[in-house]
Amino acid sequence: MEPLDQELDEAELEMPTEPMLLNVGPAHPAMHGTVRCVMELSGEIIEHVDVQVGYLHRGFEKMCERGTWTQVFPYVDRCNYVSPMLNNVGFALACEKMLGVTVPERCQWYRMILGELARMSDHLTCDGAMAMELGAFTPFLWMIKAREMIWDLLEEETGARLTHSFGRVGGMASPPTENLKDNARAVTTHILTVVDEVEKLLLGNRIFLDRLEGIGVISQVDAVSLGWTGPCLRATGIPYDVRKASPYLKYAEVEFDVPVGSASDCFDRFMVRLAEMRQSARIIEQCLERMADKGPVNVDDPRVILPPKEEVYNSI
Amino acid sequence: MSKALIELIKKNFGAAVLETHSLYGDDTVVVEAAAWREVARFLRDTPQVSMDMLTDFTAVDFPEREPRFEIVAHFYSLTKGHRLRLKTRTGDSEGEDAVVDSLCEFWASANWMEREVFDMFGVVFKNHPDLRRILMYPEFEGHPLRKDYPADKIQPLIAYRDVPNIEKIAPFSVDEGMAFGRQTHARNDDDSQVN
Repeated sequence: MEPLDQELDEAELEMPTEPMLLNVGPAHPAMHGTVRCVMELSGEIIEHVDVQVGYLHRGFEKMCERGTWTQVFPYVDRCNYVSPMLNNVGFALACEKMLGVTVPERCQWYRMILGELARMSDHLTCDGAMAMELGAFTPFLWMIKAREMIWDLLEEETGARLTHSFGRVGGMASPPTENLKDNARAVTTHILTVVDEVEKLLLGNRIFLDRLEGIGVISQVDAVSLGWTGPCLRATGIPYDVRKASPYLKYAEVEFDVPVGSASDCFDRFMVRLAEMRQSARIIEQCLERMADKGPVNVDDPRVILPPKEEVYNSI
Repeated sequence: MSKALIELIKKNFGAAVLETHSLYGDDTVVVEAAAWREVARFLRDTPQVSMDMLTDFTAVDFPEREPRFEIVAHFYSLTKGHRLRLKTRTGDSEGEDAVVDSLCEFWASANWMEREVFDMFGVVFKNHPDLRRILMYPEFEGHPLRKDYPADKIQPLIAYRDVPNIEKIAPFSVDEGMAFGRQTHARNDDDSQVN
């Protein structure tokens, strides 16, 4: 074997002075989805990047123009396949706002439970993939296993593991199953253990910290000007959460904190997501306690939503 | 809360305000295209308004109307916690002459969203730093979100593009890029013969 400390001529080590042009994507093993980045690198620093996002454009708006509102649900699912329930509920809420309809309380709690579970699955994916990208494969597998438990639950509720198409304008496609409360409690308990384990595994890891701390720092002013929201904005230290700022469903009635970061680097974004999973578990617990076991889920208005099938066949 | 904003804009830009309405808790102001930039600047820089976030920016095509396009911007103020929807109208019935001032200098998020509106509707943004198509490819013909663009239209095939400076595109030759990372530690043939 050749020696590792082979003597190198100084001249050979000299960096090229002109920046290197590097094309990443549109299809690249390290890319989640198809996006092309034309980068200008100077050493390991990206000096300029032109991001070309059109490769995944599928023309949802044009397709939605041709359908009814209910036919749009499968499309909003596909905007983010990891947490389609949040998109479903968001779209349903927008339509209901225009129609002036409010869904029954049981449905609101149900939507919150499913939504927070979807949020957890999203954060598990983000944080897990972040660790995997840095070479830590174990936490990724643990988190994906936990995510699979959420998806099993959602499959039991909705019939589909990934793209549920479960929301409806004025309710949900079907009422909660009998096992929802037990299942949700079991899943959240397991996820909280996974979050603790991942924290123990990663936060003592020098390599992991070195690669996240102080990387990708963005100022508060820039983040706001770019219109950032969600965990990335909160990692800059701005406590803006739409669930607190303009509460929808029953978010005004549940207790939860808004975790924020301070350094607004990659590490803070990682930590904000971990903390938000704990808050989601808190919200789910409160929702499960307050959701009624019986009662209507859909609004009682045939102009908005199809009546239940039994009624259609027997009494209408 | 946002009703007061409408009054404030009316007071300052009385002649340019075409229409206002408040529906389902959302407040909208429609202004003339000529005042678009000034109203936006007013929204950002006035202390009691301070719209620091441009959350959404899009356009709507009304083929039967003149002006044809409605440009829609949603503002949110993190400090004040209020929202406002600002609209303007532009473009003739053929979709020509649709020109609006760019808001890129006030909000960085306007950059990509204006590119999208340009791409999808063909609305041109004056003083935009980088106005090119964002989702469709440069050779794409027409603007897909216009109502008169047929959903089943087939685009012509395009020729291979000329890439300038093609030898700078990866994969790089051995002596380019980072010299240290590309060190191969080639085996010395003389050594292997000894063994």
